[in-house]
Amino acid sequence: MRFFKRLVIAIGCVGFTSVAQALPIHMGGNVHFITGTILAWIFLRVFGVWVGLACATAASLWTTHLWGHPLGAITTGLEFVFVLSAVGLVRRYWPKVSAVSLRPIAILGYWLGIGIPLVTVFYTTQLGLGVGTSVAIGFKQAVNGSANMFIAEGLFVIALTYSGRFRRWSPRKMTSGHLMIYTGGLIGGATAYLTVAFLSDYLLNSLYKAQTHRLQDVLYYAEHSLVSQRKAGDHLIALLNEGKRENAGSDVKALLRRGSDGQWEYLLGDELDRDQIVADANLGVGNSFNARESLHIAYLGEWAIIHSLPVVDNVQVALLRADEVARLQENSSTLYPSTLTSLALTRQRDKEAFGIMRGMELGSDWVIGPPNGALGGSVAVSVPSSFLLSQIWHFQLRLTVLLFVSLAGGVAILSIVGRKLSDQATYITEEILEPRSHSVARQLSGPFLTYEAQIAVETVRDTRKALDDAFNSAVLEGRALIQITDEMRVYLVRIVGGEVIMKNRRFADDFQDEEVRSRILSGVVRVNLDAQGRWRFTQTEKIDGRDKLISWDVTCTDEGRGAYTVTGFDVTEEQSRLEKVAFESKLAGLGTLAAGFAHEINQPLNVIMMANSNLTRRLRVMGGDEVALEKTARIGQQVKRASSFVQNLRRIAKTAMPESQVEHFSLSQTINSTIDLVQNQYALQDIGIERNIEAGLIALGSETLLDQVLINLLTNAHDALVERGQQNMHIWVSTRAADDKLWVEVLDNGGGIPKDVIDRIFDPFFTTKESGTGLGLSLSRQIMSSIGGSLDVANTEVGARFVLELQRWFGREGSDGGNWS
Amino acid sequence: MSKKSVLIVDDETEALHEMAEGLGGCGLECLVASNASVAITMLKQEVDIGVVITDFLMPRGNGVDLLRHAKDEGLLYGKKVFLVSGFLDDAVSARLEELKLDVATFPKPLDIDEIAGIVQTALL
Repeated sequence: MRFFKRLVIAIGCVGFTSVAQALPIHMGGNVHFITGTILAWIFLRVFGVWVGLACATAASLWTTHLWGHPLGAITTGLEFVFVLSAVGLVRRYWPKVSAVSLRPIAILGYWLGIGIPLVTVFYTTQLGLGVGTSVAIGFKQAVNGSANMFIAEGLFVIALTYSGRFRRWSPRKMTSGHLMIYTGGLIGGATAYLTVAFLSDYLLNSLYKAQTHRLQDVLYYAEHSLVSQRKAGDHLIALLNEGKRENAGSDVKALLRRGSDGQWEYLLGDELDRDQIVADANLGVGNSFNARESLHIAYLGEWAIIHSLPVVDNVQVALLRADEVARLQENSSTLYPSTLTSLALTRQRDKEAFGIMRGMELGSDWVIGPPNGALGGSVAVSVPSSFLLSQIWHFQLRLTVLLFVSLAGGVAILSIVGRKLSDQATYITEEILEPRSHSVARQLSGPFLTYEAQIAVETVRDTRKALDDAFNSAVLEGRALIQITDEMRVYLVRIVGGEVIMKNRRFADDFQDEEVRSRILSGVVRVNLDAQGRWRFTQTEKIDGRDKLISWDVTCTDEGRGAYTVTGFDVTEEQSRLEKVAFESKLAGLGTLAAGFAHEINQPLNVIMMANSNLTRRLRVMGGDEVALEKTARIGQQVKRASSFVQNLRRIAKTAMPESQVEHFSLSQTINSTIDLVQNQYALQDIGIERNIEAGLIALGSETLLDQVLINLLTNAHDALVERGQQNMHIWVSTRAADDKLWVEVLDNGGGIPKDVIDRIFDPFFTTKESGTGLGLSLSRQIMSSIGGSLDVANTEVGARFVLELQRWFGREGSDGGNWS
Repeated sequence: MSKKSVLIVDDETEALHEMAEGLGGCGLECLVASNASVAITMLKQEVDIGVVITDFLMPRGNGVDLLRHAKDEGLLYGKKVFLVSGFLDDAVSARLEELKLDVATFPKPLDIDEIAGIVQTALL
């Protein structure tokens, strides 16, 4: 089912990408490969690498198909593969490298190192474009390609940062560094697109307009020149017709005459290629061009006049008949009448560009004058399109190089700043806060942002100062924290100068601000604050009409400004569970007491009973005094009475004793959940619990009983630490495993148990605590032996170490693992 | 038929002596052992022990452990065995069943005359 769901998602994504990539090109838009590629990047982020790659492949295939050459693959497919591989390799082999700016660096590196050279080589060798033009195209694609990624990543990161729903849906590790880099990248990428799309088009249109104006100027002078040449020709023909050959002027370039066979003959003129002209005339051609001149042949009966104008800056002049003009305007895709709008020009230019790419021959740009009666046609001037295009590409080269350098530079700056921010976040989470507690993270439902969750966990710990700095220096982090604490059972509120400046939603929902604020302002806090500027208390709060036990922690972060960070942790569940365990423990203690009592009484009763029997026998043997025998009989009865009372007591005690049902259970889970129970409470007293618990250990015994024993041992360690009241208080809980046995060790750094105490520590009613019953450890030992294990204690260098031994279970039914039953 | 004796095992000297005196008074010959290892030694040395009475709760090896050990070494062949315990609960019964040994149990406090009768019957 899961597979099919994923398949449907992947197919959907690929479909979307294909449509987005292909449609704009089909519609003649100039956003060739933006949409599809952006979608591919976004899908990559949301649905994973394979979906992303599939979309990129689809996009690159479409581009390749529509362009008719494989460069589309370079701009999308290859780019994807390279960036993913580069980031993956770096993560694998250099995990310490900050991941914040890997992707931007990878994509810029790809274009500089691979993309632009590849495009350049392709255009120069395959399409025969100049190097400058090809490099310009390369840079343009680099700007587009990297802008695509920045836009996609930017959108994604922003969505991730500001939308809780999106974050839950797709968990990724985001830092404010990411946010900064990609938001910057988004803006930079979008700017690059807009610049290319609008500024570039605007300037290019200006270029076309200037070109058109120039051509019109040329046209104007050409027309005049041709008219004057025509007049000179007419005059010369008239002279020739009158037989005045010798008077022929030099204004006419050349003159042809049709012979009797219908073939043209060169009559006069110089500096021209006579054979070419005669050949052209015999074909009836009106215009003939060579490298230096535009030639026009005007056929006037038996005469033909050759007009000539020099070719300046690739501009050629032609004299077109009305039908030629019509044909040119109708069919030629390279015709640019000066009346066309600039938008049309742009479209035309793009078509040209694709024409180049497909290896099509270039046409010319034309400006055609009105029909001229004297010349019998329209004068037209033209330049080869390639001439204009090369100007365009040169312009684009400068523009795109500038854009790419700006984008790369901007990203580099953002990366440095972003990484600093990110480092700060890491520093806060890993160095200052030293995340030891993971219980809150575990309480979060579903996947979550790891590092911010860790920060949130730390809110219940003691490093408020660092957190406060983080709040002040990085508002983004603070906001993230506020959002994250909403997801947990943590209340978080910041008060500065009597004003609530920041609070999480949970707090806002459940509390009137005035309540806590007034409590802080009333001076109670100042009285209660300890030397470190903290005040911790647990009290019942009415929330939604129910009593909740909240463990409050008020930390004064800046006395001058009156800044306080207040966190509240809902410990209702923990407390009720602790109370239950304590009650059961007491009950069990009572049972132990009764059982011990019964045993101690029963022993002497037994001896009395037997001694009495022996006494009775002797009395009888000695001939027996009736009264004495009566007394011994009474003793016997009373002993039996006492004995039956003891039996009853024992039976009652047994019901109070915990059931020692033997079952197999996950030792690792039991230990973890037991530690979770007390961890937060202990954390508030600066006691850290470190675990080194091997996963998947299965023990034989009773989960609930072991829970009780562990609580007893933890409480013991806790009391020892608190009594000593030192810095850096720790409890270590670890497991060891052998073939058939498991051990749980509880070690504290409370300095150990005094020598005179350690031998008696398991004796019932032995206690060193004022409020202790002296039953905790003796009961624990009894419980352990009842489930086939044991409990021992020894002093280490740092403190006392309690070792629980349990039977290991291997899942074989009937392989008893003990003989305590 | 030589007269068989009774081996009594109990860590508590007073109880041991009172029982030995009581059973002795009823004409039974008694041997006493104050812990499990002494009892094992005696079982090995004395050939004419017919009945073993052992306490359950003893510090170095309880009554059931003693019986298991003795049975494993073949020392209980042809002997009747009694277990004395303050509180015979299910746990003890289960262990005895595990031993697959015909063991009768006496609850404390003990009625010497009653035990003497049972032991005498057992020795017949």
